[in-house]
Amino acid sequence: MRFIHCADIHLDSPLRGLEFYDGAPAEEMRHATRRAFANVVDLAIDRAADFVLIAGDIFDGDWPDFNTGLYFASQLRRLADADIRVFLIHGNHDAVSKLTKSVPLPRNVFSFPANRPATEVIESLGVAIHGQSFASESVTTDLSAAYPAPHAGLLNIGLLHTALSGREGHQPYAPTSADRLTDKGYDYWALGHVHCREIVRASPWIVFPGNTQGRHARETGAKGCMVVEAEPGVGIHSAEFVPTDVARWHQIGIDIADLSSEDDLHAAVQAQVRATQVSAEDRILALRLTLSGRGTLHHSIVSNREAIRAQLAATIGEASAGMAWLEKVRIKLTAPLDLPRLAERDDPIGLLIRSLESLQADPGTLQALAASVLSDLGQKLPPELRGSDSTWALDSPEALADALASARERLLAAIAAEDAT
Amino acid sequence: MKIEQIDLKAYGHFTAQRLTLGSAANLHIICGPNEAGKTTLWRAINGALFGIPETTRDGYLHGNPKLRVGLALSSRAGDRLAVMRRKGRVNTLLSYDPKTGAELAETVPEERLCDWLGGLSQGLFLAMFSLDHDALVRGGAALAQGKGDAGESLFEAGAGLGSIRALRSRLDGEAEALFKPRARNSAIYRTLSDYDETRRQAKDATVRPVEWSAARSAMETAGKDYQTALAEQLRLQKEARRLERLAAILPDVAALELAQQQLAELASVPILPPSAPSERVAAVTKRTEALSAEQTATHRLQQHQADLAAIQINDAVLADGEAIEAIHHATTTYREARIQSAKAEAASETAQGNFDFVLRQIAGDEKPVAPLQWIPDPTRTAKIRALITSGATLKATHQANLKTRREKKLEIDQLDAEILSLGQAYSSEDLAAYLDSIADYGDPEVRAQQLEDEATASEAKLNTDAREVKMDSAAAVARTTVPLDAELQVFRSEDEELRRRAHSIREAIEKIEDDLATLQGDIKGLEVRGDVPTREAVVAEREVRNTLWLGIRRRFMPIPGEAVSTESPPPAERYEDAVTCADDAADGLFADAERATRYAEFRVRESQMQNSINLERERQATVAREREDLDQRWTALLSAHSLPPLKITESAQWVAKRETFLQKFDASQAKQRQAQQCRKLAQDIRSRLSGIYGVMNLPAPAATERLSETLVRARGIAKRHAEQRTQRQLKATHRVNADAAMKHADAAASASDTQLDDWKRQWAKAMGTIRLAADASEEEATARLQQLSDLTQAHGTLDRSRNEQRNARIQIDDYESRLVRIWQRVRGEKLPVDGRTHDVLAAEIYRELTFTRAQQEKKNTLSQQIDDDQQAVAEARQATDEATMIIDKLLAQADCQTIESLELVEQQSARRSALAATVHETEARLVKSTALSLAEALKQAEGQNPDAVADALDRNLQENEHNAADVQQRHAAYLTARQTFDKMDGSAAAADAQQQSAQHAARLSELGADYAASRIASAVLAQVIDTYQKRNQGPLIDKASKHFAAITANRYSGVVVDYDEDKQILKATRADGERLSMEQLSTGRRDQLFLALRLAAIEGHLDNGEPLPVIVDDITIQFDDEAAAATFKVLADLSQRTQVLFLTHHEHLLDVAEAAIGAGTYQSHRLSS
Repeated sequence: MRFIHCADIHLDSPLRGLEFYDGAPAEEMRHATRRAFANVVDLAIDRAADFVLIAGDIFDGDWPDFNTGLYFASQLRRLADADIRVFLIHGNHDAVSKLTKSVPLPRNVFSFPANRPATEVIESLGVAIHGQSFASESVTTDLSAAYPAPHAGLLNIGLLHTALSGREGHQPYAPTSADRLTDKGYDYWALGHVHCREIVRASPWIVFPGNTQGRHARETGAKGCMVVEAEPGVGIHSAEFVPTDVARWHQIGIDIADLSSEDDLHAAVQAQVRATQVSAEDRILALRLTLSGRGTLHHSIVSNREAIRAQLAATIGEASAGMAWLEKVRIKLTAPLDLPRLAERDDPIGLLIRSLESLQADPGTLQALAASVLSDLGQKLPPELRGSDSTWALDSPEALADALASARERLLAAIAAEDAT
Repeated sequence: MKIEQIDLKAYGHFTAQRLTLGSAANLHIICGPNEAGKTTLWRAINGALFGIPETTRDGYLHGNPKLRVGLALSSRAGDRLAVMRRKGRVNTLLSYDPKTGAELAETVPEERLCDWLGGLSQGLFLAMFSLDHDALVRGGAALAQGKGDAGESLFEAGAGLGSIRALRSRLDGEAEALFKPRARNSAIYRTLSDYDETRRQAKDATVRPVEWSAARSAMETAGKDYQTALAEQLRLQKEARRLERLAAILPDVAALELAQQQLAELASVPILPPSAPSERVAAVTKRTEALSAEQTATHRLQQHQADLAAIQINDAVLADGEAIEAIHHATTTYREARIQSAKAEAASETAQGNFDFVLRQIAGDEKPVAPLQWIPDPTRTAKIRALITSGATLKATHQANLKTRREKKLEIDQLDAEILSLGQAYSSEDLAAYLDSIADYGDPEVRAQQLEDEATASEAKLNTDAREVKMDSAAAVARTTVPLDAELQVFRSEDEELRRRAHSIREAIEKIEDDLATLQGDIKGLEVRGDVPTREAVVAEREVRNTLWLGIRRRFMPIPGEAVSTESPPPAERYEDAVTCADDAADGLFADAERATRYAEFRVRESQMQNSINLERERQATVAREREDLDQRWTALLSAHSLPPLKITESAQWVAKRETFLQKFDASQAKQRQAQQCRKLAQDIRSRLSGIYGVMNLPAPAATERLSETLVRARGIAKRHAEQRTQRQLKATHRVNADAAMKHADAAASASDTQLDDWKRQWAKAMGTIRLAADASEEEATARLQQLSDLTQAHGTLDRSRNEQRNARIQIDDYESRLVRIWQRVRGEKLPVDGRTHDVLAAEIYRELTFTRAQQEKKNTLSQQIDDDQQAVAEARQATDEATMIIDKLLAQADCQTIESLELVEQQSARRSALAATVHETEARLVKSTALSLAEALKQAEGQNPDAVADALDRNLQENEHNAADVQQRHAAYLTARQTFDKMDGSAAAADAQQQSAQHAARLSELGADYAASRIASAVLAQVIDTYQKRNQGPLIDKASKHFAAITANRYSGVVVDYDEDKQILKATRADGERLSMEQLSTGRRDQLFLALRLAAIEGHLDNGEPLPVIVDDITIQFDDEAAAATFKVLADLSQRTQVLFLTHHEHLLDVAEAAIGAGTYQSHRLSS
């Protein structure tokens, strides 16, 4: 017996942080979440899976476009045509989605209820699947506690949307623990919610497959689903991860300490891009590049950020034959100055450095300063780009700290400029 | 810091030049005419202090790797440092001996020199402590551009940065390019516009679930409506068809009845087959045609038989036909052979002449019997030609071998002499190998010291940092452990929950208390109009009244049987008062019922609120107990992990700090371990080198010697030994190679000599074969071979001509003999001899063959035609018989005797059959058109009126037309609804637009971050400029005023800060008190003012720790002597506090300086070109 376990599809949710520029592989990146899910369906058909488990978050929040639901249904019909059943639960993202309630799903699909745990038995395969959907966006109780006892003689699978005892970057919904799940006596726990793939335990199998397609710079590496081989009465034989992502996020770090020219920088970037492309098996790449360290290139990089970014985008495009998208260049460089000594000086330079350090150490003062100089822009931004719900807020502590760091390096680059020659 | 000595060992055009600056005077005027290298010296000092630039052009004489500049430095405390800078990327700072100028192997850490320079980078050092004419001009220009803005000007002078204004402008410009509130074309505005557009597109493309449901519902409703209309249409159409069928069969029913009546009248007529008339006509026609054909065929037969008898043929011509054709086809060849025979005869005669001519050239007058035997075969000729070629090669090779042998002899003699000149050497491989093996370690002693210093500093810093995390020492922090994240999360969650609950309860209490206060205010408001009558008060007053009455009654009006009270009755006045009070209370309650009711309600609510407050306080106490419990558990957790007294909310931040701290602590520990390893490594190296020196009979390294010096000396020894060994091995290898080459040359010369002798023998033999002398030259042999070749060619031509003549004759003879034989067989006579040639006769007999064959063909054709004619006569007679039989049969069927009576019977029979067919067809049509049995159809038609049916049909038609329009309309509505629904097909258009929107949001994020950085940088800079001005304006202006007055020879009294509207600006004050703005000053004066500000700032820098040398490069270039002298005075004053190097290429400035400040206050130096 073989089944596919996937989760967190987030159909049609946009890939975040990708700023368009000439040469960016926008066309190749289109419909990434759809194509990733189609890959899951292809995989199920190719491997002749007996059924597919989807552990929640099919849709992204209250995304209102019904077309997304229709697309999802069309893919499920492909599975129906291949006589493959589908069992799904709804997670925090799609619990209250109108799509969840309205999309007409084909007959091969069983959607677990939200008001109580339920069990679906496939007699022909000797499998019992237990599950419960989220009733609301925020479920803070341990849903697994009420899951029924395992059916003797059958292969028991638990379908659950949870963060277990907590995972970084994820809300602690439906909290439980690996020990509690183990105590249930099931053979396989098909979990969802955590976007990072993790085999929590192999006896019994407690598995987060991760999401099927990375959507922003924090979701790096291969994304896909699990292909599980099992036998009723014996248990799980194997759980194989198969990538389904069509675009892959990756972070590249370059230390400029040993680089003496911009050509060296571009060469270093090209080498890493090529290596990354090989490891990504020629998928489209979305790259975040972090320049760090202390070196002679500090001034030219800090003072010409936009030009450097454009050049690096071109370099990455060349190295990847147009198959990589530069998501962001994060500049974490350190000015080639003895700042502690200079800060002790009673002169303009010392005063400037001390002022910068003082602002760095006092977010309140920085906030006040920012409020006075950024209010005009803040008023022009649309509401969704302000406030805590946005992925980026102009006046958030993190954004202001980054802005101050950038301002600091620009000022230090100006005073460290060496025109002696 | 002071530069005591500059050693220009190899830099630019300088070679081993030294400037000694260690005298008592601190002002040094270094003078060099143009091209003497003043600017090069300036670059050399910079290079020595901060590194020689990667792209320097000062290596043109010595080469970049050999560039060297040495500096001997001393500090105010008396410390000394001598460093030699070399060109390179790493370890470019070396130690050197300032007395001898010798470079030492020890590298000096860059940080050490950096310490001496107060941590300043090159840019900052030059900005703060360097002055040149260009900088003055830029500073003066900046003063003018900034219109003397006091803050900026003081900041620029203080920092030595002439670009603060430009920097601020650039930052503001960058920010405004990104966003300006009313500039719609700024980058952020444009991106916002794009963002809004894609959001709108996404919204437009979005299909909401309710829209989909509505579309589906609309489609289903429209579909049902359409189906209903369609059903009605079908019903009407069915009815129309019924009526149409009825209308259609009524005429047929009438026709059927008529046909059946007529059919009955013809019942006695026999039924002939339908084909009877046509059979009759065909048989009569056939019999007539057969009789005519028989007559025609008989006549044609007779004609053909007569033609055949008239043809005569010569069979002998036909028998020899193939031979005649062959001779006919060979005629052309026969004619060509006759021409070819004549041509070959002429060519044969010409070839014989040529052959005789060549033979005479070779043999002269001799008449050889078999001259063809002289001609050598091709192999022999090739061998002779090869001998000619190989002879030339062999002679050249032999000469070359002799030359090589002479040269190798000379080379061997020379190498023997060189090897003799090199002596013996000792082996030093072990030393070199060991040095190679430790090359990667560098200088472990220096490294160990560095690591120890860093570890000590790091340890001190860690102990300080430990106090920041509330711990006594770094070790204490290292001993701490941290709870699991999950544990901390539980505490944080509980803490947060308790805070939330406490806050909630507090807010609830405050709210209730506020409401209570309001309520009590309302109660007081009711009370302020007097006591509020209450039902309880009335009851109480009445109770008092009744008690008093009971006392009176019991005393004065006891109830029968009741004991008379012995107590004194209450006074009557009191009872009356009580009665009055009770009545008043009741009256008041009645008169002020509303107030009383409200008062009562307020009191109830007051009581409820009090209860609520009590309840909340109990909950508050519960939370406090839980808080206490949480604190106890938290304290226990802290204690279990040896953590300082942290608050729960501080835990995450503290754990992060601890993590950072531990990384630093581990790094510090690692450095200590590395230092110990380096120390041990250094000791190992010393021991090992001592052992190797012993083997090489060299003295062991001194214990006092530094490891770096030991290593340099060891590398020198190893290198020297290695070079000697390499030279010797190289020469010996060359000697062996030369010996081998000599032997090879000897063998080659001997071999080539032998080969030459052998060649000569072969040559003599070969010359004999071509009838030449043995010593004939190669040219003679070549000429003879050519003659023999010509003879061969002439003989070949002769032979070919004769053969051609012979072949032509054979062909002619064959043709003529074949013709003679054929003529004899065909004509039976000999070939006539009448002047006609053989080919003419052959043509004649071929024409006869052609004629005979044509006659034979004609005879065959006539025979075939006679056969055909005989068959036609027979067939015509058979056809006549068959036609007669058919006619007889038809007469019998119709029961008549003649052809004419047969035709009448046929017509009646056809009429009867047609009526029967009409009846049958009508019946079939009725069944088919009604789709009913004939009986039922006739039953339906029975009694029907065609007019009534037509009216019903008209009505149906009208209804049908009306319904068809309705169906069409509903179908269109259904299609529209379905199209709308089908458009919702899972398209990704909205998702695409949302993706583009996300891309614009990402762009906005980038632009916003850049904008924020620019704005914050500009704001910080403005704040710092303002702060600096406030703090330093007074002292800087005072000092600058003093210098400005001095430089301008008191034409100006100083500099002041003045106001221009609300802006503070600098103004220069003339001696007469007039204040001039920057725009009013001349360019030169502004430069001097900037110089004054810079000098004031430099004096300020001197207060920042160790004073650094000030390097001044030709700043007086535009000054007159008076201003230059004043400047020297100011510099002389400055030199009292720090060293000043004044570079110039104006010799006369030395005189100006001497006159202005006296010879003893400065030291002059002259650079030679």
